[in-house]
Amino acid sequence: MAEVVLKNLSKKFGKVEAVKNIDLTVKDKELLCLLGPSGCGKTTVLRMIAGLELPNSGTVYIGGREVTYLEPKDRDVAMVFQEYALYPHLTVFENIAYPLRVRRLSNTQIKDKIERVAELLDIKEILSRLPSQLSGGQKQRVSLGRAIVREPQIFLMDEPLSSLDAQMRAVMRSELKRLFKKLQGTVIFVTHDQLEAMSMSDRMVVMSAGKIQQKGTPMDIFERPRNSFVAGFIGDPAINFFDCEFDRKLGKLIVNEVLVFPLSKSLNHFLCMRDSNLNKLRMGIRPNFIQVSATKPSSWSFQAEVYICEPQGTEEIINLQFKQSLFKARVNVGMKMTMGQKIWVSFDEKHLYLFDQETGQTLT
Amino acid sequence: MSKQKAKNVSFYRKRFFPWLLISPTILILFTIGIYPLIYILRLSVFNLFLSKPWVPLEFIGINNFKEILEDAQFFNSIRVTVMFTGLAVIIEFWLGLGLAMMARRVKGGTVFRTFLIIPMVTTPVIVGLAWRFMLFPRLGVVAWYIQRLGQMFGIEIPLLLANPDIALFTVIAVDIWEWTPFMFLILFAGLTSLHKEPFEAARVDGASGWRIFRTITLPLLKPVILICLLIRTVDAFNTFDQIYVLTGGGPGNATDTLSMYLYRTSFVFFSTSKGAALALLMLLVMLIFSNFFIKLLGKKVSV
Amino acid sequence: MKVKKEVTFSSHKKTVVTDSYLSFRKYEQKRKIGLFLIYLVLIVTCLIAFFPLFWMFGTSLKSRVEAFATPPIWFFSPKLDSYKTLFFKKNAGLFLWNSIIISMSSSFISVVIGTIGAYSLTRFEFKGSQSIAFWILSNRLMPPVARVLPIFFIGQTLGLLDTRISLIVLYSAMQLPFVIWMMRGFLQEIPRDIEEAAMVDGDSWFAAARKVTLPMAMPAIIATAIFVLILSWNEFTFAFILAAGRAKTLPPSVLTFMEEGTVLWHEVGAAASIISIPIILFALLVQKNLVRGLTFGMLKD
Repeated sequence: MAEVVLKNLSKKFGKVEAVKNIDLTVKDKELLCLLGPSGCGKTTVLRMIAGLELPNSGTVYIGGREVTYLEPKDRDVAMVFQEYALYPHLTVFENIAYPLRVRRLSNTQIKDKIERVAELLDIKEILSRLPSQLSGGQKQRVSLGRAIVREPQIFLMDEPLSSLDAQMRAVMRSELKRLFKKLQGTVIFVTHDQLEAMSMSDRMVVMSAGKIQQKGTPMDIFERPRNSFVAGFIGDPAINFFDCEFDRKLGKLIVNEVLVFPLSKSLNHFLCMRDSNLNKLRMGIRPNFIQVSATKPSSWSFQAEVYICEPQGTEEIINLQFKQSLFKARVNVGMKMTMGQKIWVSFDEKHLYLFDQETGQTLT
Repeated sequence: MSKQKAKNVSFYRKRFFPWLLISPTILILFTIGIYPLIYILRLSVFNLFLSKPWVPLEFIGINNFKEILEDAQFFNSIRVTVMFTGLAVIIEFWLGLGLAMMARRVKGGTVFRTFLIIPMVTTPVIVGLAWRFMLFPRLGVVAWYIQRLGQMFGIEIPLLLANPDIALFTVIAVDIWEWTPFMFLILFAGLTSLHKEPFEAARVDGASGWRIFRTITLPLLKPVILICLLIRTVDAFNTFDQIYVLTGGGPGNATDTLSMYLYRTSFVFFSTSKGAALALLMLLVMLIFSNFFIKLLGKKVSV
Repeated sequence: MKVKKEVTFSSHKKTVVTDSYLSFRKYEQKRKIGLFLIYLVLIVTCLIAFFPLFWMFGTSLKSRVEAFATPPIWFFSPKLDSYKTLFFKKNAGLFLWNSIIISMSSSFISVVIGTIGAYSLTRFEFKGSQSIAFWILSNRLMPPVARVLPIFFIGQTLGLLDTRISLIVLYSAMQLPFVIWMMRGFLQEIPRDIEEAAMVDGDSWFAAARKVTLPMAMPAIIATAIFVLILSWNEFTFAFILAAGRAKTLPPSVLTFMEEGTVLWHEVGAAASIISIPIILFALLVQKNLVRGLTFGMLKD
């Protein structure tokens, strides 16, 4: 197993800059996730690590060795593709055996290794089937088998769960994490599903438009997003944003010119110290930190109209409307609510994120 | 329309209309396909000889077939035809495949394809004539330059179409010129239709270019390959137009394929029944051959 | 061991410091040479494909002396004499006209019948559609030289030899399998949903087909029509044997130029050009769809 280091990696496709100056270190035995929306460049980065794309500038190191321009076969990486990329004309056994045959292992060796992998992934019964006869989950396991059997330095996975149905996804999330922990492998995987990223990775890298937005552990990123993009991308339901104006004299945030949120002295002071020109801000509050009640609470609050409710079993997601803004609150099932009903909404300053409206940078 | 009536109509619609639509086709194909076959079957066991119209018609069983099988010319024709078909198809295939793989890597494939269509769509008779002209001893442009080339190296190049030893190969070469584009087009389309992911997986798995070609490209192309080999073999076997114009079967009987032999039997000597018998033999060979090929295709009946 | 090098590669300059870069350079070089060779091969192939007809056309513009000259003449002033001879003395006009009428009519007929048949095969699932398709193709197995015989006899009995009509009918029938082959592939590509939407909206299947499928299938139909046109235009065997006089088409007519002792190559060249050039132009016009049609028949299961 080994480290992966990317230095100043960039890639252009024609005029489009897909990847811009990526610096990244993946530690040995780490499960790292590249997370981001479609088109942000995460798959391109993965393919550059694999050697399927060559960068325009920058370097790639695997296991301390510089591999930037090496063919994939010389890099000792294994990859699991989004659509599994199984060889359609070969049986499951032959699919997994393929990399071993390339390395000219003897038949007994091959049989040995495949048996072990089949045991690990529970695919013994399907060894003689063709890919066209497999279900999605089975195909994925075969694809994994083909990667594992090589005992490579690095595992790369391109959207490993996106081709599965929702139920399988939930199951495989935990299974995959367990598997890789057991194998003690260095794994880099790419996804656009933040839930996958949060639950499966040791560390996450959030990307957007070819650049790294933030690196860190899932909890890190969730609790301390560096900018509003990251804050908005992580978390389900997504964080609620309110654009507001900062009135430094009064020490208040004014939303939609009617709602006034009082800032504590320390916060107010902090903001003034940050930048004397600070004016337009964006408030961010996560749905589970919004409190609702039928009667006016003693702390600061305001009234909003119930737009629609989404029951989720033990919890409920209430869509609320205030003036033109729509936002969501997640609460335990309790209050009976109807569409159009007016209820009191409040939240606490300590759960509040503040972002600069223009740059998106987190201020708190 | 009441619901009941509508149901009835759509019931009939499902049953009859499809057959209605395709009936003209079936009818015509029957006339063109089955009837001649029956006619020829009948002919072959009688002794109709348009060259000898005074002979009364009688059933002579397999006499015609026996005659053919005892004819040395027949066996010569078999030899010529097998050589022609075998060499032409195999060379066309590999050339076509090579060209297709090369064309995949470069842009501007459309321009290339434009030129390549020309040999395919040209009238076969014209192909024969054009090459006959170009290969005409001393007069033809190709013959001339080949002569000069030979002179430079001190070799005497034999007359390409008049020399009995070389003529067959020349004819094969012309066929290659004409039909390699066919192989190219089909194989190119086939190559393009392959998904690229298994290939990337193979690259990551460590396979070299040649290995990928052998273990992944070729197997995945198998259905396409089989179809175009089948079609081309049948067509090559039945080739008539070009050969008739290029050499007429000669010199001697160097290029006397079964088709030429058949033509001579039926329309020069007017041994009609014998011709019919020969045609049946040829058909039989083709049936066996294509059956074998279709079995090779396995479950992919792509017809 | 690091090597600092100032390098230009594809889009920009960069100072690169690596040793994997060196192996990359070798790879790039080999790749460039490979590309060059490929282009070379492709261009040569194009020339080879193009040359014979080009030469024939050139010959047709030569005088008799020039055509027979050795060494072959490459530069000359073009003359239309051979064309004039063909049309005014050797009745080429009749043959051309026959070819046009026969090809276009048979093309039209076979496309109409065949498209309807193909539509039926693809749209309505009924038993035996697979085997019909297979059987349609097995029609190809019989050597055409053999098939002429019975047709010849029928023609003789019915007194229909040497008429345009008989050739039209014959060609239409022979081309039917091809039409079905190509149109089936194309029609399978056209999604049924739109038709079904139209039918749900109240149209009968016929109206839906006419309003929805037909426009979408037009390019395919045209390509198929032209493909079949080419087939009948180029057809030699049947025309040769069945139409020896008034209804003779172009391909057999070239033979008459050959039977006069010394072959008049410049006239042959003219005949060749008249026959081939329209076809090639047509083919080039629809080549994209033509190729699609041909290959679809093969790639579809």
